[in-house]
Amino acid sequence: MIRGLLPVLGLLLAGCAAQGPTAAQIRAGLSPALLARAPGPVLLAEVPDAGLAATLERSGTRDGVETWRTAGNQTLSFRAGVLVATRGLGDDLMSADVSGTVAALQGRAPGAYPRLLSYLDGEDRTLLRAMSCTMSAPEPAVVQGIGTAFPTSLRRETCHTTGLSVTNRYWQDAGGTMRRAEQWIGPGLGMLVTERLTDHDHP
Amino acid sequence: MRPLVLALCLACAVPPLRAEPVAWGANTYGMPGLVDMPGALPFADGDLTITSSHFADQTRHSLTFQISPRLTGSFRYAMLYGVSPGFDGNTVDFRFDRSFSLQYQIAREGRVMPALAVGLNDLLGTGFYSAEYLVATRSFGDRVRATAGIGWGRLAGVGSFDNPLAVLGDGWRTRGHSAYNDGRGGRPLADTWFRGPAALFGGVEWRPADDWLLAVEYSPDAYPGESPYVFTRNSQLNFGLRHRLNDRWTLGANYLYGSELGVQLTWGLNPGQPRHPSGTEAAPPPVRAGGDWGEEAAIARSRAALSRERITLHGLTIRGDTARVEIENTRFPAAAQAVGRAARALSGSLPAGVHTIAVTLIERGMPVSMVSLRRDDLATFEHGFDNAWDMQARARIIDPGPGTEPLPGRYPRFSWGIAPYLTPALFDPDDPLRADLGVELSADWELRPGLVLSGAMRRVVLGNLSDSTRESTSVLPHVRSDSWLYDKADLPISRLTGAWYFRPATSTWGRVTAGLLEPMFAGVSAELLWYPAGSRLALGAEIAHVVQRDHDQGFGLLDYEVTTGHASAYWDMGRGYHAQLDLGRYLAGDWGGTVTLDREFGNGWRVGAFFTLTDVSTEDFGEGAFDKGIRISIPLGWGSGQPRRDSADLTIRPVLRDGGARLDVDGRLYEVVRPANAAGLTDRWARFWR
Repeated sequence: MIRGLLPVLGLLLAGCAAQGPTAAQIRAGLSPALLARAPGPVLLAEVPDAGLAATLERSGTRDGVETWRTAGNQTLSFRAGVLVATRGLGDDLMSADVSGTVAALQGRAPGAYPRLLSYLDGEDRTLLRAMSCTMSAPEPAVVQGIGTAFPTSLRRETCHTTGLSVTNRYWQDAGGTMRRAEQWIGPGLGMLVTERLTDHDHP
Repeated sequence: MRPLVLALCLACAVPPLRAEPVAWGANTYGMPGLVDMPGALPFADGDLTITSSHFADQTRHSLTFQISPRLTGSFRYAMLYGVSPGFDGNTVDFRFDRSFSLQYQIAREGRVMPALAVGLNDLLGTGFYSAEYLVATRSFGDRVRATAGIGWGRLAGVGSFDNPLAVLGDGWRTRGHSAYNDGRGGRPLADTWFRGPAALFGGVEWRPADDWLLAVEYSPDAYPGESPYVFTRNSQLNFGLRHRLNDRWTLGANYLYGSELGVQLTWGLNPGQPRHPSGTEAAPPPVRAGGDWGEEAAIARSRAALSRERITLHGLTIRGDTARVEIENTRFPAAAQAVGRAARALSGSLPAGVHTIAVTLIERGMPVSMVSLRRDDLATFEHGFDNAWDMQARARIIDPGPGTEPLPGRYPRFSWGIAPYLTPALFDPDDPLRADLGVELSADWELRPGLVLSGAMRRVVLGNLSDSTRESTSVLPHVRSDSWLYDKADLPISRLTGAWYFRPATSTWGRVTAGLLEPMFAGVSAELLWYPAGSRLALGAEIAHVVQRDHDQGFGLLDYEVTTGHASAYWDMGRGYHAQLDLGRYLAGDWGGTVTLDREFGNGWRVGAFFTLTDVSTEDFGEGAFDKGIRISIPLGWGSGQPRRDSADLTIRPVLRDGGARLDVDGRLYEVVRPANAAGLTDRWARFWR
């Protein structure tokens, strides 16, 4: 009469999942020659607080949103390099309105602007979070890629909501490509660090 | 429009609502409190804790649930050795005592006034722990709390005075006999509550760091059943130390009554706060565009696209610019997530000329809900902010009524499985934990929509259920109390049935099941359910004629047969509470009703309690006086974050007797229909894009 109790005991007692490699470890195993053989652009992503790191391939672009996926089909979606959704990370960013951040990165939004985020709470209800953000002026910075160094401009974005303040950082090259970014996903997962490892689509 | 709304929100920037203060620790009874005494602050709403506390040759195992923000309930199984259950000096070797407690917070802490709570201990048991109290707790800064209270019963053993409630009448001066002494165990003894002498208790808690807690208290409990038989009381002062190891475990040490060292361990979780609130399943398919292909190709592409999401395509027809797609969701506990994934998968597999996708959810061959979505909306909102809300506003959910259009090849279908099972018999009067572990072989043969033959056979691998020799003394027909004989079966056929699920009309569902319905009964059961789309109320009627099965759980039958049945009302009260009322005739031929009240979490967890009153007298019912218990249902994906529709269901009864016993037939319609009904869909709609 209590079919299924057995698996639940295992689930309740089980601890955290085993940790995979870190982004630094993955990076150490990569070389320009290896990346040149990749069928398309490669993104390296890490969520340090959750112990997650992986390389991702681009799975699609629609309506200005690029989606990248891991081998296990977890995905990250960006609008102009700014995170708008994650899927499969356990405490996903379900959706976001980052129009203010995108405008500020293009130097078009002086002063404070909103960043809107939505999550799932533990009972399958939408949890909304609104942040108020400001973007710093750009300063030159070099991002060390695999075998190449990219000149970029670095901008810092500070976002506040009640009881919480986070700083996101964006390294964009002259062509507008996000070479590197550190962005806050949400209270459950913390920061996401992404690095664009290869530049272009291969023919 | 949306930026404007946001601007307003940011402008007002309301500080977060101050969370109501909650108890820092659990006492030896597993209730919020100090060491042995209660406090007036509750646990956090929904917290579920198990506390095991040991001292002086006795161990209390308590399961405590914060039923609502103010109401705390607890079930306790105490293992006592060498005590005097009648408080009269006649000791027994051991006593396994089951009891319930309730505490209600009357007032929250104010700027000056303390929090105030009233509590009842052992309100349905033998009265061994019988006590009532009124308690106040006040905070002094973030690190110190003081508690003071007045107690009756066990809490008025030392330093007692005349009951102040005697102003209400002389009857309040004396407490009367305990349930144990006059054999009234199992009933609420309201005529003893708050009666007899009273005494004061109190203490102080100090939290020097977030993970450490020290408490000192004065207890008026004289431990009349334990002292001096098991331990000596030298003092009424108790000291406690608690250390929170992590978000699940808390370790405690106590020094009690000037003579005894005790230890306790608390394990807790909040069902509303899984570690992976969005789940860990892989990403959904993206929205794609259709192409120029016909219905035949659309079916093949759709079947493949849906099977990648492990959703089964049941039917697909295209009429004009609308595709009507029937799906079977065996994977996602939130039906809205299955619909959302199916819609995205179909966006790339249906011909470009289809503008409306109508997804029908099929459960056991019956259509339950049809969700109509505009294909353009999927593309428009896939990457939008708060897009679940946008889709919910645009989706049309209806009850499609009877009739399905299964694809050729869908029926018949045969499936089978082997799975381990565990059947614990918890808190038996002779042994606290007995259990069987075994394997179950099950098979289903779906002949046509709604018509299914199924069976299950078991084999015990190890366990001690069959060791029981607790022969039934019941004067009623032994409809449940011979379970110890059924547990001795070698190769039990736990069920072997033919079932027909059907839709007689819109808003109505039907079921007829015949065969070996459950381990102890065989026969025919028929059920009708009225449950309109989106309704929070459903009504059902069920009737069955059954014959008792032989103890070996083969095909043999015993000579007891009965007609049983119930009229049922199911009410989703909102805010996570659910009530069910069943009125009718039970297996022993007794007439009566069952009341069930559940706290339900949006992720599928349920914690509830039930009781059944029938025309069987408490004397004929035997130990426990009437049937009652608590039930917990845990969705199996809750811990891992992986989507699973099955759950672990645990029912704990202080004692299982023959009165108020219900047939246990598979596929009761309310539970089959509810997740996919419009109400279930909208409750978990936030997962549409997950």
